[in-house]
Amino acid sequence: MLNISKIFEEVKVMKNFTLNFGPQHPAAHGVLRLIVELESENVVRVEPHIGLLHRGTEKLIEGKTYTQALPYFDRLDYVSMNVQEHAYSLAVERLYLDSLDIELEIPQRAKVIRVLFSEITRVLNHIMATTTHAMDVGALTPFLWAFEEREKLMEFYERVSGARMHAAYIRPGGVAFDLPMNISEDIYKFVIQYRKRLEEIEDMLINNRIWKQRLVDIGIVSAEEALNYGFTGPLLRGAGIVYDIRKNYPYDDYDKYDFKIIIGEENNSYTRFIIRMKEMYQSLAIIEQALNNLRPGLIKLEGVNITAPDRAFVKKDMESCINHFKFFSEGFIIPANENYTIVEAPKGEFGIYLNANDTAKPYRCRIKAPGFLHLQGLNMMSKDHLLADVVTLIGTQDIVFGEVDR
Amino acid sequence: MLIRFKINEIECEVDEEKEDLTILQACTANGIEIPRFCYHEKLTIAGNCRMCLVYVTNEEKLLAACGIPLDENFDDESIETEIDEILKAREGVMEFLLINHPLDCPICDQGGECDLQEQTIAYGLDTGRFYIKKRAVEVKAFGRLIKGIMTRCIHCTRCVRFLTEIAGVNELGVLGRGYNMEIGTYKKNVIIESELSGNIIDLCPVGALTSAVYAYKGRPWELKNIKGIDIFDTVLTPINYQVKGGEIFRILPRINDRLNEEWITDKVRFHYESYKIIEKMRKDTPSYKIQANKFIELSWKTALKMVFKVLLNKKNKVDLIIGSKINSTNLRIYKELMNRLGSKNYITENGLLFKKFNYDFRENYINSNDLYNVDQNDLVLLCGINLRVESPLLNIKLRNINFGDDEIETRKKIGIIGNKFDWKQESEYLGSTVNSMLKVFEGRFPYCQQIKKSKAPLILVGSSLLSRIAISLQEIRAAFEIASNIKPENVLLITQGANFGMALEEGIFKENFSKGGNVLYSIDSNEYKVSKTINYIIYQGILNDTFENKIDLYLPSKHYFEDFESDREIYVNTFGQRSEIEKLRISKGNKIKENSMIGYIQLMYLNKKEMNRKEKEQKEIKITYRGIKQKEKRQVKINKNLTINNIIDNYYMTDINSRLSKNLMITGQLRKEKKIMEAGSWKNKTCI
Repeated sequence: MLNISKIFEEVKVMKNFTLNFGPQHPAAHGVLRLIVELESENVVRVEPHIGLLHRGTEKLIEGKTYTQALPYFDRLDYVSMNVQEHAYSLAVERLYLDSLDIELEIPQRAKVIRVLFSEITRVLNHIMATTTHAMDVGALTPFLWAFEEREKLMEFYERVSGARMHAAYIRPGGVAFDLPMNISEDIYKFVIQYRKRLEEIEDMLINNRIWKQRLVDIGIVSAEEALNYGFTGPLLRGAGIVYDIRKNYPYDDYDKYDFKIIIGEENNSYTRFIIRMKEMYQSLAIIEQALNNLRPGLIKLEGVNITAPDRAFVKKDMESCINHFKFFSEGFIIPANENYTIVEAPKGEFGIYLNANDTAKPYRCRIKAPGFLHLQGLNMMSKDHLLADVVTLIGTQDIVFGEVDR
Repeated sequence: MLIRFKINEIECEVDEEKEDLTILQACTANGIEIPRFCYHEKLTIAGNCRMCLVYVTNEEKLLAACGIPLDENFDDESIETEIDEILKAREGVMEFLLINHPLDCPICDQGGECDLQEQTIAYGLDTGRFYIKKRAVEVKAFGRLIKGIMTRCIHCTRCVRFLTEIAGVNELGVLGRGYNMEIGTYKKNVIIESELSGNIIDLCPVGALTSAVYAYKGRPWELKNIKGIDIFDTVLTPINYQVKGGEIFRILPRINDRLNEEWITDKVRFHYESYKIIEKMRKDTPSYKIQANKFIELSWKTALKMVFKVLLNKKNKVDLIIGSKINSTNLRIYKELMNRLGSKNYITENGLLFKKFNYDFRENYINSNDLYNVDQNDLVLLCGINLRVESPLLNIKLRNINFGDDEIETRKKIGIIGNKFDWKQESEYLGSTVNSMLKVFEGRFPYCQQIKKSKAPLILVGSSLLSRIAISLQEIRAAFEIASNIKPENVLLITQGANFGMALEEGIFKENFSKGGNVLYSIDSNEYKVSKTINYIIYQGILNDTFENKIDLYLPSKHYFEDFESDREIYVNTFGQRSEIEKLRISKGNKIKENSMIGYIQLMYLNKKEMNRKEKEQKEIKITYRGIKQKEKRQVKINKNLTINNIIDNYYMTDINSRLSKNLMITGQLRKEKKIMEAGSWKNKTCI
């Protein structure tokens, strides 16, 4: 006789559908590969596979002098170059100056220029973050409008350092070169007109029904979750936590600038979009103040080993010639010492741990990239979401793979 | 008297009777570094750079630490090296040195290893204060090897002191005074006639004297050091090959206080030029001569089988000559190969020189006295050895023996038999024939009284003596012992081949080698005349320029520093010291085989052959001891009028590497013709 009950025991187990998202997907921000487990269209699990852009930056830095290691930081988060240079320069300065008995500060003008370009970089990054996010979701126009403005910012980069992106401009001890003629006026003109452009972009998006449908209530992160996952930047401030390193642990006189920390309430993608837009206004305010604070003066420390002598002197006197040669060949020696330096990068807290061992090369360099921690939270954020929302989440996290894979 | 003093609050003690220390040496011994330019451990003290100033309590002025000996005046004093006054003095000295120094760092070959740069960083000012005018000195040429950009000179006189004191030539000197002071030769464009002149490049603390061969080639921080040895003589000086991307960029000495101190010879310093030329000229596949000057390429398999056929043919009598650069492993392999073939016709290139050699006892070819304590010797006799060209480093070691201040007495202490050559002071020249050597044994020179009187004499026997008379070192030692009661260890043999001692250790030698043989199997060996009986030549090596046209079968093998059987290869020098070398690869392509590989394949063929024959009969093993048989005493006829000529004609052209190095070759020619350099100096080929 047929055992009916046995037949019913052999219930077929339904497996979830597994989807490969990226690394060639245009919304995957470069080389992100996600293994998305789906139940119909609902996301069960998202597993990021990283490392496609890995080139061992931290290990490479161990084999370079402190000067040669600087350009690696341009290439980490390649849309916020100067902020990372800023972090590295601060790290080397603190490492070096802490080991000296005398207290030294970098010149006022250098500080202002650094702040100026850090904030230009923040605008640069937020344009990228918000408008490509909009493009991934379906709105192409803000991208086209804003990238014209972004190009102008790149031109400021180029005018000051010679390179559009990988500037290597902020250096330990100050900045590489003084500002060229008329640049502060042009930056000021840009600030004035960019406010209008920002407003136009806001008009396009803020009350846009489709935009809101795609963003509101997507990727809600509670304050507790954000802290537990180590989120920083807009992802943390969106939950109402007032944490901005420029205010909390000010560096290079950020405490003397008048600006606000933008926070949100319900930490969803839309809030974070608004935060990024509002932060751009704050950055513009800082740029304006920085332009007003610009005074003539030195642009880097002089008479210290961590800066190279001026070219003009190199061609005049032997001491500078030797110092210049030794600076760029052997580098400068930092006494055994360690420190961890953080700055407020556009994406969140960017930290560098440096360990010196009485040589001209760092013994260890560890980079804390904000995007790396954010990506770990992607699984948590995409719970109970649809597949199409994963794109929104990647956009709202503002992931860049240079810093995640390093 | 025990002197107690303080250096930077560190309490120090020096026993004045035991040690003769200067302030600078005492500071260095206590781990305090004092900057210096003119002071050098191996040279006399000049005290003219004033960089080593220190403060001593109760002294009015700052003292130059390099020149002040610690005596009883320093008891209870304290020496300060880091106080502000000293730092300021150093800054002052540095500033004055840099006033007239040209802004050459970017184009200077010394950049990166320059004492002036390092001390400016450590002790100098940050920016200069003097922009008015810089003094300039014209560029001077000291031969094809050394570039002299004398504007960069800081007048430390290290080069002058090295050449006069250690190398023993007086070409360089200080001309002019004060602002017009220059280092140079009195006549223009004079070659420095020393085999060690390259060392002034290392000694120069700035870029005034730099290597002309290495000019504009590389920077020190991009070069990698690989340990090697100098295979041009038996001392086996430790050297460093400085390498970048499979190319040797330069060669520098490694410091060994018992052997070479800090010096190397010019030949090894500049011979690396040849490797590039050799790599261009050499074939990288085996080839076989079908007509005169016409070769066909062979595969390794056929070539090795051809060699094996020739070796195995019983009609052939094979002579195996092994070059002097072949390492110990290969010596063993090829001896094994020949023994298995039932032949004992093997010899090293250097062994060819000797008519008779007793290698039963190690002391006959390896000297137990490593000449570290040459100062204790009170007499030197050089028998048939031109030490200056045969082993320049031993030469300077012996030149440093101090026989006392009395010139006439000193003259009596040095005897030379053989070709006359410039030595330290005027020496007692005993003649150049074999007869004069015999006269010494018989005690017929007044000089022999000196030998008898002396307590620790040093007698060096060279290969040019042993190549003239059929007499072994043992017999010479016996003769000296009978005649003047000299201990055998004081009679040293200095030969030419780098690994000669090791070859004799393996027993690779045959008396009267040149008789017979119709096949010549040469392993990287060039320096001899091929005898007329030979009708087939197998040459296994790198490049041959002496009998290239006669070669029938050519097998390419590797340079000695590439030729590794396992991960370490050992060379043994004339004092029995082992030196290991590191592997360095410069030859391109994978077709070139190691000597050991070729030898092993031959042995493998032999094994197969024997297996095929299936000779399983146990042979009786006869143990024969060589040299134990008592030979009849017979009268040896010696041509007494033979002159003991120098075996080296031109120091700069002794082997293929030195012959193919352009600059060494030209230096050799210029020095031979005693020409004052005009055309062809480095000035013409490079612009500054």
